[in-house]
Amino acid sequence: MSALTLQNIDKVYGKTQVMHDVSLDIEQGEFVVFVGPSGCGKSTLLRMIAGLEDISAGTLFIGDKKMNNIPASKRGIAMVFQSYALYPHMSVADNMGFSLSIAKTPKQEIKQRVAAAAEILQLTPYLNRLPKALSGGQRQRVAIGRAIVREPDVFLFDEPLSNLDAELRVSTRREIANLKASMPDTTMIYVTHDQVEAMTLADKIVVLRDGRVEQVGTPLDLYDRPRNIFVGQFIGSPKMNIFETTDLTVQHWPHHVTGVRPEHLRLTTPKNAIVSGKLEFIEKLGEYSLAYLRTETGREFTVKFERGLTHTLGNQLHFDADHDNLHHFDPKTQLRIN
Amino acid sequence: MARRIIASLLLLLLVFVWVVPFAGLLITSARSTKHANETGFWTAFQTNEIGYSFKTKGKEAIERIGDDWVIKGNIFDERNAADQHLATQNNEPRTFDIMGRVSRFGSGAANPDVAAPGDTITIRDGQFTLQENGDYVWAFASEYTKSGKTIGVRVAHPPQFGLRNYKRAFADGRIPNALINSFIVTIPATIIPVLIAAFAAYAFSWLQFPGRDLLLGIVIALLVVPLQLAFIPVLSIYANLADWAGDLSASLGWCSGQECDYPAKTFSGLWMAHTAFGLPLAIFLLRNYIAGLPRELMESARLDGASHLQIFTKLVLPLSMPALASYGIFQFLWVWNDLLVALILGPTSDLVLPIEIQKQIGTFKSELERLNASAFISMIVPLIVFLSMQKYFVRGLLAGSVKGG
Repeated sequence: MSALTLQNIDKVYGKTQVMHDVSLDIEQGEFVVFVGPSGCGKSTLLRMIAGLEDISAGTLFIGDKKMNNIPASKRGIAMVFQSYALYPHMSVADNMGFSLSIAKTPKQEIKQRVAAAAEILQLTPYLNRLPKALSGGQRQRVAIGRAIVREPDVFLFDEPLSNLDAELRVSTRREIANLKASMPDTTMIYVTHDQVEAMTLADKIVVLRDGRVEQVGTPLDLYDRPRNIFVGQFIGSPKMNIFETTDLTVQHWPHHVTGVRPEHLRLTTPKNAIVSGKLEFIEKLGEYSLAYLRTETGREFTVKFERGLTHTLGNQLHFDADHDNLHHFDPKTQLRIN
Repeated sequence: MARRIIASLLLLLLVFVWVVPFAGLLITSARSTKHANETGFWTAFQTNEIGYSFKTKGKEAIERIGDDWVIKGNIFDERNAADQHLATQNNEPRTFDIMGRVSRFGSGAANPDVAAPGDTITIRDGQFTLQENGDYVWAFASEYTKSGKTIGVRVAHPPQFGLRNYKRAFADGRIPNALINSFIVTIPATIIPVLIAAFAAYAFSWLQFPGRDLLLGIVIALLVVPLQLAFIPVLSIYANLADWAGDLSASLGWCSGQECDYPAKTFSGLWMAHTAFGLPLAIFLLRNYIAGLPRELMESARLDGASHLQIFTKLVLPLSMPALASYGIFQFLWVWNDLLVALILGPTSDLVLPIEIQKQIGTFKSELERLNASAFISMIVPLIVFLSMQKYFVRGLLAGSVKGG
């Protein structure tokens, strides 16, 4: 049974349509990540699921119940906001127990559930503090704890890590992964613009652009077989190189756009090369180096090297790649061909 | 650096401009009438030379010592005892005692500079000697049969302060009554508009309803309606209302004749007037603050199942304390100091403090220190309110400028 189903969802603000015919099935216990560039509608979609935005057209099911007109608090969901949205005048414990006290849960039970959630999130020593006395990571954990306490069927995360610094983001990401592992039956929907978070956390990634679903699949699906040029370039870092036929030194694939990831290009001799370019710039990142090159037709592309790149700037370099690692797209529809 | 110095100087100037009149009022209100009328408050902490006229004892106190007829006494003690006696008779608080040293004296009130203490001058054929401490000896060769004589004395008077003026202000009953009346008017006239405005501000910022923006526009437009414009219409509404209520209770048989005349000018009328006049600004200020609260906070509370009323009471009210407090201070000060509205719409018998003080200016024109005591009583209340709410006030003014939990 699907935990959550979207059927032909539209969202219209005045005369602007921001979500177009979004349909999606989410299984119970799945960790689904909505990813896309800013303004793609991923947060809007999440807020429609949460009940914070009206659904202009289409149907939303949670479990087997139609939820379009059910108020947010009755949908069995809990949401973690980007800004944490902690109540600044309440202690951590009161923050986490707020929904229960609104629901008139007995004090004893509130205390137990808050204590249990605090235990999971290692917040027990901070229960009596105000949010302003906590660090960013701790505040984020309180926000998550507030969601856990409600024991929701569906967890919604709206860019929960984007206010944290890089180091904390990595550790909190792992905590969220652990949290998911500890709650295998709870469905989680996570919105981010960071494809690394999407790749590392998701069971299933939904790539959105301009209010449309571009592709739905597992992280490796998306990496290995992007459905179109946009997904190909959006997933993977540095992003996929895209070549027109004329940019290539071989003409095997007329009328295709060819994509190849920087990590899949290998140095070779001029005779075997599928693409050549002049070395313009090198970024040495220690573990690997990124070389920025330009073909004679003026196309820029990136190659990922193991460390120890000895070539000097201005050299002409030649590359080929396994044919399995080449992605062919139709130049008109931008869709994948092979 | 230069800017900092200028800023500090400016601040110093502001403090000076505020503190000097305050200190003047406070110091004057603790001095005696004579001191307040004859020397400035800035000299109150030094010894001042002040001219008095004293009356000596007369024939009733004369004794025979050897060949001489002598009158002995102390000008200060006699005068203080007489003043105290008078005050007790009039049921007034204890007067300020005259004290200090005699520096010059003379035989009449008009010429106090004739002799130095210890000198002997001739008054009415007697040899009059006045010591520095006020002891005098008036010796005659034959029996003296008249009453005492007024003499002029310059006294080097040390600083002297007391609570007599406050005791008098409180003792006469009108100031305490007015103080209570002022509280009766001001406290509800502050709390009611703040509460109504907080509800309205929440609705204007976080509820969707048709005509919301138009309504807000009207409220803001009301900001520019002058207060004076409304006096006559409001007063006539109150009068009609009182008439109507009187007629109604008469027709219901609840009262008869004169009993049915309800007053048009009442405390509740003042509350309503101050609420109505205060609301536009209150809604405007509070809406700006409440609309600035993070949207995600409201959404989070909605997800947590809170109704609008719960969001308002559990979230918006506590988080808006700085704004509520700072507007509350404004409204309190405005109502507390208000003379005009209270004069026109307030009760005619139960006067508020500004009206009472205004009336006392006529009665006690020459007793500056007594007026100052009343003025200080009326001043200290908003000062206490301000100081106790000051931390909210400062935070309220800075609200929104700093982000953070």
